[in-house]
Amino acid sequence: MNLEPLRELARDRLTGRTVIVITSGKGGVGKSTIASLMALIISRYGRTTLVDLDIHGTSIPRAMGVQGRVHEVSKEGIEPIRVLENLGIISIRGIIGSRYVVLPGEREGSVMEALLAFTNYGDSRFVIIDMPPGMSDELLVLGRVTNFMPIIVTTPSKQSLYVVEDLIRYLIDAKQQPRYLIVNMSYLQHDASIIRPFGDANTAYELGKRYGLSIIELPIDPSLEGYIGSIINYRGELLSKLEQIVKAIAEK
Amino acid sequence: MVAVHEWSLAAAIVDSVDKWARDNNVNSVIKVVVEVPTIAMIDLEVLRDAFNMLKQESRLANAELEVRQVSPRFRCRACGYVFSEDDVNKQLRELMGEYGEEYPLHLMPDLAPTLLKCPRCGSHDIEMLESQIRVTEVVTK
Repeated sequence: MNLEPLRELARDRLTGRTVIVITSGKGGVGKSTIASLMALIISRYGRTTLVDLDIHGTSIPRAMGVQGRVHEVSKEGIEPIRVLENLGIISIRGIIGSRYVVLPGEREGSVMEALLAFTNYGDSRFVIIDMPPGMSDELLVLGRVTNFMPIIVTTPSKQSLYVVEDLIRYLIDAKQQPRYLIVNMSYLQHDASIIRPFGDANTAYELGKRYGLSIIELPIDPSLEGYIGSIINYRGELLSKLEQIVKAIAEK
Repeated sequence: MVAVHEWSLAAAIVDSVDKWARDNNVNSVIKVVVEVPTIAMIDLEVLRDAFNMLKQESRLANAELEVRQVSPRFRCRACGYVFSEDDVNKQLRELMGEYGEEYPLHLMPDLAPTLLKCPRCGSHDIEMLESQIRVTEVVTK
């Protein structure tokens, strides 16, 4: 008998919502920051649940300043921790507390599936998913339970872009065509001059052209570090740059 | 432990069996057998009540639920030691003491390898069988 109770529940609970997945083949490119900022913006358009699927390197609770908070559980499932009236977050931190998470590969997928299945999304119109680095179970698990909209994050470095190209090709093969490639840490504005620490973004633009993705370049904003723990108060340039994507998605 | 998570498990059972019945043109399911891992400390009475409530509008409306509790088996990949729940009983009790109401294995028994250590060598590299709720049998009319 080949029934998958958790998979079915996850599928059921995600049906009818817009699921946006922030992903990259590479680590350290700013996925969690971008996922947090996009969740903040999109929650102006409707109720939003932000799920931190990076079970080994959970970052969302810290960015939002709710690390140490534990999820309540109701008959409807695991309750998101509200950070704004319209925005709740879900993460493994809220289940396992401050312990580290080291799991054999075959357990990762089922933990992710359980997180997606047991969450009470309530009346959330949007679900934003912050992915772990790499291309592993998380992509397969999500593919089984929902049609999602991938948003790819990279830096302008060729090291990152080469990996990201694999991810784009995989997503196209899996019929989850990505529309946006966010080139994070693209430049730094210093007085009147623009510095590009990782070189120009030409390779990223070429990639965008080849696979049909719009490019959004984001600057390095040194003030952002000061908002770790209170990212809901951030009003800097990254936010205004991301607003254009969010507007296009939310008003579709 | 406040037994509410059982409602999500019951929803998962009803959802998956109902979908299976629809896909296979089965109009009435009369019995569902599930296995739950003992380490999840599931309240079977609440699970059954939730099942009976949630099944109403589905092809399981006349189904009874049989639950078998299965004790997971473990094998350490680092030293090869094969062990059972009894061998990690002390660790499980400590976890329950530490987390109280928020005992994580209740929600996600798959987290066991990161919360437990091999009783012989202390490794987290633990293979685990029977770790998740499973539907093992569906009887139809």
